[in-house]
Amino acid sequence: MTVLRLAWRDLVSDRVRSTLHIAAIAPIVAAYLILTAIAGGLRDQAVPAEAQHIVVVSPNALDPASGRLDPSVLTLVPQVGGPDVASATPMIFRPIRMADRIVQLRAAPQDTWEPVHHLALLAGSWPDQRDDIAITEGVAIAAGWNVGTRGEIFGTTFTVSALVRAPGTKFASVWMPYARAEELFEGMSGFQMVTVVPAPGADVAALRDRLDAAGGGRFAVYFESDLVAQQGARGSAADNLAAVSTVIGVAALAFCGFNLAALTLVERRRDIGIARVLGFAPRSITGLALTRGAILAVAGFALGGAAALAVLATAASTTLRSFVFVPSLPAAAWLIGITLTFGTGLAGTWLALRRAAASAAHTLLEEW
Amino acid sequence: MPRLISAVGLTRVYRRGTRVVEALRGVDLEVDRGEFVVVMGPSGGGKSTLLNLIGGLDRPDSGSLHVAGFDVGTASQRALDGFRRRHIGFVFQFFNLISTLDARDNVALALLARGTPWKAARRRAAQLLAEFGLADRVGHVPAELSGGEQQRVAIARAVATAPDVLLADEPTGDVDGATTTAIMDLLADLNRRRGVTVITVTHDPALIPYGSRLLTLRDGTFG
Ligand SMILES: Nc1ncnc2c1ncn2[C@@H]1O[C@H](COP(=O)(O)OP(=O)(O)OP(=O)(O)O)[C@@H](O)[C@H]1O
Ligand SMILES: [Mg+2]
Repeated sequence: MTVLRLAWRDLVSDRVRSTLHIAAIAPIVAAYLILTAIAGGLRDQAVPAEAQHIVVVSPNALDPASGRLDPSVLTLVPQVGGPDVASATPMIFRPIRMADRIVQLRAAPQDTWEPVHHLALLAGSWPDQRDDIAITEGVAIAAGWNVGTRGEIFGTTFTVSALVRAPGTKFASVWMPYARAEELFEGMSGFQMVTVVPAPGADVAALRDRLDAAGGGRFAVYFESDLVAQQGARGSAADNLAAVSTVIGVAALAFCGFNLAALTLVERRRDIGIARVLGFAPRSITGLALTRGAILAVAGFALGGAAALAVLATAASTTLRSFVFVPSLPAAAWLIGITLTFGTGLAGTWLALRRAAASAAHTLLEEW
Repeated sequence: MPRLISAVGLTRVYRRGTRVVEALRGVDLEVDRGEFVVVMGPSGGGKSTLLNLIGGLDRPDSGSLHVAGFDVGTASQRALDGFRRRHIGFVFQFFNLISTLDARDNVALALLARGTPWKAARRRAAQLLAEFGLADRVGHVPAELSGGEQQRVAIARAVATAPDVLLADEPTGDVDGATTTAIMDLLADLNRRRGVTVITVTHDPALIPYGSRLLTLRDGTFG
């Protein structure tokens, strides 16, 4: 108790340095948390999809939404696939503005939502009015929308009637019945994707190759899972980024913690000497310094964490090309952040203090 | 009078690289409880070294040293920490107050080192400062105090734990004549009224009359 009070009093009376110390830690904590949240969001998006589904998209596969498929694809696929194709359904796939947010619109025939696209109803009811739409969890989290929310798309007010769960890259999107979307865009949009469900027992690899060959470069053919993996690659790139920034963050935190402690030590060797003269044992002094370091770590982490939350709150969703993802900060990220902040701060304090605290008191005083 | 300090053949040699300085070369000293010893001598004579040994801040290279029944010469570093807490009060030329703490907390620190609870330590510190005529200065940090006031705070800190011996290393070395008188009157008062044994080291002959005994330390021995 006394140690805590003494450490606190020391920090309060040494206001300027304490503030600078916290100000040095907080941005590093915030940067670490924000990057981790972005990486986490990209990873969440890459939930595995249907391995067996084949998707046909425009050859500019980096962003399927930017392409437009020739309508003949819809008749070509069953022709080429023959009995191996169970169904081939078009999808309109484009970023739209709804209630001042950019979201990803997917329009597919409503009878394919459950069997082909594996949407699961979480709340509300499937669209049955002309201007009903469904939103996925990702959008609900990112935009704060829910069943009953209304918003304008292309000048028409739509109502969210269903909250759904969708796998893979469909994690964050707004769903509309195909016919309603065609009408809304007045046929200007075409469709960007065809989802091919192979017949049971079909050789899906061979089917994919046949479709690819038939396309002759006019369109690209993927397994849906590969497309997801491709999106996932962005996630793992972000993962690497987060890992690198974590390493940098750790180094910066350690460097900062150590140097601030060492600086404090240089300027306060005499104070340590005084404490020794008064009979404080080296371990009491180290304990006091560690407590002081812990208080600074708490304050730095709290400030950095608050800043990170504030930044993430203003950017609740992020649009990367046409993919929306929701930054997420799992408990583990917080735990790692706290551990790092404390670990490096305390280690720095301890290492820097180790020798001085044990030095003969008179040698610490002599230098003055 | 009971014997408080008993030193026999104390030596202390400093080695810095190839340079060897014999700061103390066979010092014998007996001090009784209640004495007021003034130690004079030329600069470099070993005065501070001797005080550091008596106060358990440093250890002799040879000889024996007992203070208040405690074998300072052979005690472990850890035992010396406890020894200082219980038996010793130090006063220095440059006060050695902690600059970020106010007068009250500086004094309380000595009590906290002994394990006195926080509130009791602060209460006792304020009380002591009031006795020393610093009632209106308790909340001031050292930079806001005059040299004489800082030294009085330092003396309050040194006697707060009721030590057996007060070791003062040039306590008036950094203050003017009038303040010197005030500080020495305070030490004399502590010696007489509270029975604190005082050993003070100085260059200033003005301090001689305060002592019950005068010693001269030259070239590491009492000549
Ligand atoms: N830590 C040290 N390392 C090396 N030499 C030292 C050390 N401390 C003191 N000395 C040397 O030991 C001798 C005695 O020093 P000491 O400080 O005890 O003298 P003093 O009588 O207190 O002098 P002054 O009146 O100037 O304070 C001096 O020659 C000094 O240079
Ligand atoms: Mg000296």
